[in-house]
Amino acid sequence: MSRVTRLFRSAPAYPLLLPGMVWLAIFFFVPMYYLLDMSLRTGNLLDGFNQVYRFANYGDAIRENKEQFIRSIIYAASATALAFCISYPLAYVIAFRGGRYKNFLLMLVIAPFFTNYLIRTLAWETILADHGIVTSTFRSLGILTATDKLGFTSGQRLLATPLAVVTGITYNYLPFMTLPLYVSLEKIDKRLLEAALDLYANRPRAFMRVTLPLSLPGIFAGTLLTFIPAIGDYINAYLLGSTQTTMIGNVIQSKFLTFNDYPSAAALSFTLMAGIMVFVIIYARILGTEDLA
Amino acid sequence: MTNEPRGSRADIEALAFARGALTRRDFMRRVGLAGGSLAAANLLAACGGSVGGASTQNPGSSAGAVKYPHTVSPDWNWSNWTLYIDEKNHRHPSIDMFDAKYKTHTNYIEDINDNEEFFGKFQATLQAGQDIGRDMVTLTDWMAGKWVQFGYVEPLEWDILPNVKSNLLPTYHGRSIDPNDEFLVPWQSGLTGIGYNSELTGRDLTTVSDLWDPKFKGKVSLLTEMRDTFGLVMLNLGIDPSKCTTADAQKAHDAIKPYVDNGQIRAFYGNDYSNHLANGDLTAAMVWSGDMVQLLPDNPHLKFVVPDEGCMLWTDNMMIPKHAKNPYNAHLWMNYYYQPNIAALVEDWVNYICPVNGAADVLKAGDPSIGLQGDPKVADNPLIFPPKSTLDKAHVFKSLSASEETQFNTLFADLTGTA
Repeated sequence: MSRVTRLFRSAPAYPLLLPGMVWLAIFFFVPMYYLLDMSLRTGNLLDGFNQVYRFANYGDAIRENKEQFIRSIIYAASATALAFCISYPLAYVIAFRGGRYKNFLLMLVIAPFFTNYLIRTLAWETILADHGIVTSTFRSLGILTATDKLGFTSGQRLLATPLAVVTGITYNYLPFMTLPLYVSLEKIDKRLLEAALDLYANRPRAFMRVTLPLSLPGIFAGTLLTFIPAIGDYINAYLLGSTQTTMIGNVIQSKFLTFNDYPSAAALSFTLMAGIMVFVIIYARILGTEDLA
Repeated sequence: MTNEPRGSRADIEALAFARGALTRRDFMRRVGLAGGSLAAANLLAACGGSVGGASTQNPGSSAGAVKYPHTVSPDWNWSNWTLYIDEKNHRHPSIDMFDAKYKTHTNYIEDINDNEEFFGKFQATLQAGQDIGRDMVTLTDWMAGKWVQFGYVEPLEWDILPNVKSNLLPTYHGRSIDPNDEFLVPWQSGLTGIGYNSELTGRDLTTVSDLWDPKFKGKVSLLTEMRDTFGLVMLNLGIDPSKCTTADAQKAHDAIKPYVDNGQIRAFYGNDYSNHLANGDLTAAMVWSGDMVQLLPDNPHLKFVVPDEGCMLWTDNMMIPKHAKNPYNAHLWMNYYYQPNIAALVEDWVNYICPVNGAADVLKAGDPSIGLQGDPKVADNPLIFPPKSTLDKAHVFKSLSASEETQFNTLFADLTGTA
């Protein structure tokens, strides 16, 4: 009897999965299959690409673009770290001190997103221009001399340097970090903090033992939501970077669209995807999100 | 067939043999300069010198071998780039007049934003040998050359294109992407040269070598278009881009590479060099003349120069996709556009380079019959109607085979940092 009721109760759940599953099947798994299939072919657009199961495509693609892979990881990681440093205090203030302005402040965080992605990035071109206020201020303060030495910039300018690319990525993905952090901070029960203080924890200690651990799900979601799109981003590197700052996304874009070298572009896409997947699994293990969420 | 060319075919044939000593290019240029009305396709077909490719003509026969039913369809489709035809009150006067004249309706579709993207959209259909629903498309040289190479273009029926025959500027005959003039009719062109900020350079630039001046370090950009960048550098090295080999591409690569490595070259840009050049981030750059038309009036310090060693010429070409339903309408349009007054009407708005002889004169004086006011500013602008001396220095990049393209691209990608 009880088994039957259970069956009746759980049965409706499966059809509910259907739309999502169909969507995934058509727009993710099928394209994935074609991408995988393409990545093992050889040929060119004129004569067609023949399936020869050439796994060496992967080796070649990775070897030829090692530099861009490494650069992408470094840029994406730096941008994620930077976004975290900016977002955490921001989300904290909005969540704990926002009061009745909470919603307004949140809207301000998202406001830049009302503008097109490309336009936002192009705006940075203007902001960081060689003769612009920012660059000349940095230059006269000697900051550029320091960053030039560190290799973040070159030639006493900001535009077309690694610093500009990382800054651009950070800016463009900042809300992806801020919003999850805000959500996890906002739902923390304030009484837990009061309890910690009652038990003679000072404020920094209460933060380290209560707030930070409870916001881990937000940190996890935020870093992934920032890091994953950032590592594949190519607009920032294209508009704000130079030939020395190209990322793996630029390579894939030019191989697909300019050079029509579909197999190696597909191989690179797959490698990137696999790399991200491995990273996410390891990251999830370390942070142990199952217990947190 | 009502429009028999002015010189009879026998004359041309005799002429061709008499001038046997001339190279093909010289010959065509002279005929062109003499105001000869025959297109190169006819000439070559007439003397039996078809130069390979996907020629559909029998040696000895005239271009009239290609023939379409001469009936005007009630409507037809033309794909073009955005903002690439005259506009007035949200209408296109040139198209309206065409529709009225031929009692047809032109579906003018502005759906080309990018050569590759457009190609990608229709490639499968073309490969399957099906109509793509366009009677005419407007694609850039190298992509047009690709379509020709792949056999995706209907040959032209030259007998119904008398205006094109007589008014197409000689520079455009026998381009390497369509050596026999069988498939392509130019729509608009542009030059690739050097743009610079004379205030920052403090001197006039005259050659591509000036871009390597150490004073401009980090303030120089080249173009993301492989053919433009390699083309200009090849000219600088004394190599003809219309005949270049992979070894030549290697030479061009080797000439550029040190300046990428030492940071002389800031970046490779598409049209987006405009901003940087205008605000002083760039001192000098490889640029397209069309962008400079817009930039120069607002930025008195900017200059455009055709390098001493020559410049590159690119063209967007009108062409009829294979299996198009209404090729006759497309022919009518091409012939219609090659009237100097219609070309002038379009040019006054578009401001790229006009391939139609005589358009500048009409534009200077105006033509009240089509509502065109005289516009000497545009007519005298050397970036829109370049003098013959400039066009003589203009080169068209050759049509690359698939394997060459891969090799050229690989070399270029190594420079742009996307290899």
